[in-house]
Amino acid sequence: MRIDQAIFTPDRGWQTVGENSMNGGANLVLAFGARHQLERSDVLRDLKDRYPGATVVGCSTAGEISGTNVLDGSVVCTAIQFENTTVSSAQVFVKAPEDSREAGRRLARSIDHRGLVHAFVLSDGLNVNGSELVKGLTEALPSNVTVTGGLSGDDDRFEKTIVIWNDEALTSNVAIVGFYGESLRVGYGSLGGWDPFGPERIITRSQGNVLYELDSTSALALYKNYLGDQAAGLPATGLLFPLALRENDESKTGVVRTILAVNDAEQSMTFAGDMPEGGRARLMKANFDRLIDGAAGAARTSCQALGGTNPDLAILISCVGRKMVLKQRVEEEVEGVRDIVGAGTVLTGFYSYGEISPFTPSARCELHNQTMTVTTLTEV
Amino acid sequence: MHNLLRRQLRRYLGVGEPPDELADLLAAIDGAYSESDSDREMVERSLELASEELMERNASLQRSEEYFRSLIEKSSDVILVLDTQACIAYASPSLTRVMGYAPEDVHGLNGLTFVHADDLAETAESFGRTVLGTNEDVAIEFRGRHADGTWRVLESMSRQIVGVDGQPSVVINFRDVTERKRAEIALQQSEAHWRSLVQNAQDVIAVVGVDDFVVRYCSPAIERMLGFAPQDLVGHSTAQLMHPDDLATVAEWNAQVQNSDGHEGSTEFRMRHADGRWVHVEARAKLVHGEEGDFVVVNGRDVTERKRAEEKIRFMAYHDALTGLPNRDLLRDRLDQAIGQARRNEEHFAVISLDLDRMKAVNDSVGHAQGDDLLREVAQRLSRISRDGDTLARVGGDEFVLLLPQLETVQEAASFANRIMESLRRPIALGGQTLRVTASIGLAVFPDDGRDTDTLIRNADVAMYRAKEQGRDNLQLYAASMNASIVARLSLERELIQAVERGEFVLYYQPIADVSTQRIVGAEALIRWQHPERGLVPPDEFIPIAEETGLILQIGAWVLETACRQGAEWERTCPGFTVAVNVSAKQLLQPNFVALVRDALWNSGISPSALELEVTETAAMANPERIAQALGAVGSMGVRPVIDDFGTGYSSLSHLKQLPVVKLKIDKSFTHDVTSDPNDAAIASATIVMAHSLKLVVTAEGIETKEQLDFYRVHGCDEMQGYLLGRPGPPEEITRLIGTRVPQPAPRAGSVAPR
Repeated sequence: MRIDQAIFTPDRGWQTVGENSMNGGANLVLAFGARHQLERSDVLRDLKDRYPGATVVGCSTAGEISGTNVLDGSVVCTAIQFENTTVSSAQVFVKAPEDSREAGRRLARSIDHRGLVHAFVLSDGLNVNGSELVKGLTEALPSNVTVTGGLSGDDDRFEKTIVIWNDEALTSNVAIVGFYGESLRVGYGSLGGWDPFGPERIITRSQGNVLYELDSTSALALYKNYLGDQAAGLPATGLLFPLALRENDESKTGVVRTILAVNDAEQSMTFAGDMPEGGRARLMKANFDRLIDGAAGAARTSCQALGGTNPDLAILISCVGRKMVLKQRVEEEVEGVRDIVGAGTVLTGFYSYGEISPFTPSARCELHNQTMTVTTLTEV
Repeated sequence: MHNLLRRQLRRYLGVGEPPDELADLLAAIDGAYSESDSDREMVERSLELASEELMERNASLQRSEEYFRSLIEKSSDVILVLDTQACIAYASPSLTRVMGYAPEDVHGLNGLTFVHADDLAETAESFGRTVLGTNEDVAIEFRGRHADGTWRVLESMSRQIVGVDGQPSVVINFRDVTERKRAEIALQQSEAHWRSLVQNAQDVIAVVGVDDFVVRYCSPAIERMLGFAPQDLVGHSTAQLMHPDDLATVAEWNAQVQNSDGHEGSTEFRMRHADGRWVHVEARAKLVHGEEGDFVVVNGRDVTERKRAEEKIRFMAYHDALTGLPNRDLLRDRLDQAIGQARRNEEHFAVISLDLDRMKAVNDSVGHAQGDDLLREVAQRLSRISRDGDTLARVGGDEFVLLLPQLETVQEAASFANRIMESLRRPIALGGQTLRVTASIGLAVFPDDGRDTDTLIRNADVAMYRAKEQGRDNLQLYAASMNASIVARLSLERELIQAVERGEFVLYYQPIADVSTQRIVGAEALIRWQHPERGLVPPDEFIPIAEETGLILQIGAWVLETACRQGAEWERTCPGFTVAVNVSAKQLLQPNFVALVRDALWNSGISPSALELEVTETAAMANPERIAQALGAVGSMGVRPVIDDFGTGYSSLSHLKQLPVVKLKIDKSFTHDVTSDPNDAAIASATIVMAHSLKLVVTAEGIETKEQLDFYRVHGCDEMQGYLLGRPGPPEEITRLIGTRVPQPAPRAGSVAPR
């Protein structure tokens, strides 16, 4: 596997990272960038020109990862030339969030399942119900094929996200890449690092991923109370208090849900996944050390799946909420990953509005929020 | 710049403003300080808010706990919490009220020590079951010792719960049901008591369905009343045992009971006994609203004997005990009805008052017992001749009253009275003696003799007393003016009967001659009554009475017999001679008329063709088919049927054609004016032509003059009859005329007929 990486910034144009080692064409190009940069027609044309014949997928972000650097306003392009692995890709349009599950099924069926080893998915971050999408994908894919990926971001603006599929920049779309070949090894891991606090609340009114009331009082009012001055920064500042969600009183483990949008008129909040009525929700707060340890833990889990081989490529998809909390220290979590995967591994990735991965290799694939998800690839 | 950073710059670098070469670094440090402050503030704020929320929740939980605690403590049931060793961990305050113990006094004691020894095993077992945690409520009843030493029946419910300390314990709630148990037992005893009352009651007590009469319960008394065992009836409808005529009454009663809002309603009806007879039942019923719907409780009793007695009393109130005839009260009732009916229908009716003559003497001679027998016999005789609808009442010792409704004429009532007198006159055999009784009868007629009950009875009595005054054994009408004619008529009836018995009738014969030869060819027999006092009575005066009374049949038979005998005699001396006999429709239609004729022919030896039977045109046309049939029957024996008085009955030729007659007699009214009235002449001549065309012999009647005779001769009439030829006379006159010419030459010149 040969990998070239380049970064585009408006000031300096394209700049190569390290030495270009690739001879011949790339199979797959991953492009993660600021929405405004990706919307520039020259950037996509450059990619097409530079890697003719390659499958190009990517998305808008809330921050790009290249090596241990976390960038804003750039495009990070990673071209991969496999030795014994092939890829295929497809995309699907999602009309409305409630169609997400069916869209997931259709997308899963639109690639060849024979010899499929792994699926990598990039989705619109605002107009798709991520947890429904993941349900649709896992229903339609072969049970031994796992899915990793993420929901595209839009800095902390939450206005519009795009998904790149070949030379198209699409909204309300989901792209999938299928990996084929016996020599490819894929690892994945996902960890959070948030602590629940305060009383547990019951979701008393909700619809799909839209939450209205907790304990029969306005959820939005609760958030505003806790945020104080920072309430003005909603919905972005809502990421400071993700929700720990148990589906009901009986369930022991839960998922983390993060906020995507607020509606003052309706007193509602839209989350990246379902908020079922009767579910138990608890506010969470960041624990710096555990956030950083979590990133390292995800990398460790991911690498273990490769059986001790250092990966050639690690795709890091981390939540925008972590970036907002960690602020200047955000790179520490990327460094934590680097410490685990080793110096020879190319790191790429982005800050997202949602992460797709099983927590561990044996667990069910789910949509996560506020986690660091690490997908590692190597060929043997 | 962050205050802390500014102080640090001053302290460690001794500058107020940061040096330019460190500006970027210091800006980053400044940002990190601010971010840190912001993060800390957020955490502090969160901590404070969360604490407040938790405090609030805590307070709310406390209130909730107090609320539930008060629910337990105020509960009227006692609530106990026992540990797994049955030691009391908690007792609610109501323990004091229910069992007399203070909760703190029993704390820690083994709960089972309060249980009655007899109930201990079961209680301990159920406690053990609860401790094992079946997650079900375990309910038992046991006796617990009250602080005052008495035993109380406790109803309890226990369940395993997890205690505050996380350990399993048993919560029991119980209540004192001693009083309720006592009441239940009392209720059971009371029910047994009432049940035994119902079971042993003389009356039948039954519970039946509201609409279907299906029996749900029935007391054993039913067996005595209807002969069925209760179990034979339960589940079946009683409707099939009811008398069909009573079903409507029962349905009405049932509706009344259902609408009566629990009040009792009573009625009477008949039910079929198992042995088939009808039992009169008096029943009271009450609607009861039960848990399983409404039903009716019926209380029934056999009142058959009472009904029978009542029936008898009612009969006795309206009937005479000796004869069983209606008494005066019932008579008055019937009279009232008769007056109403007669008014509506504009009818007449009669009241007959009858008093036996000389009953006192009879009683004196035969004794009262036989006097009573006599009265009974009289009652029976009167009953026998009464019509349906008549009322015969005994209103006094030897007084009877008859009510005869729907009369056509007063004469009918008089005839009836006459028949009564006739029937009483027949001797009565009593205890070896033969008695004769007569009665005095008075008759009053509605509306002429009275328009109300009292007047009618009184006037009938007045008439009856008049009959007594007239010498007893006779009838008097209240309307005295009518007496004469009625009495005359009645005596004529009586005399006519006697005349038949005594043979007071004689036959006269009028000659019939051949028009062309003027020789006698036959004679018409005409009846005369040789009355012992009044001399010869013409038939117009007694034949209608004979027809009304039916004597005509006897008289007719005698006429036929006598005429045939005479005819046979004439036939021997003058072959071809015919004798004609008049028969009425009544005679002709009597069932044995053909036999009567045959006997007369047989007994006399006369040839059938020598007997002519004359029936008037009017009588024949009143019932043409039956008369034709009867004439046909005698005609088939060879007897000659004849139509008499032709021209008065308005019969048509077609009718005449259908009658099997051989001869037609032109009525004398036509003959009378046949020489002066062209119409009559035309009718007479046309009749002769018409009769001849039907091959009938024609006889002209009533010929009194030579001119009349000439007319008929000219017009081809076959026979003639009339004073010109000879008046009706004894048979010897005919015998004398046979073989002579009639009319015989008159002493005056010109009176001799030509030829």
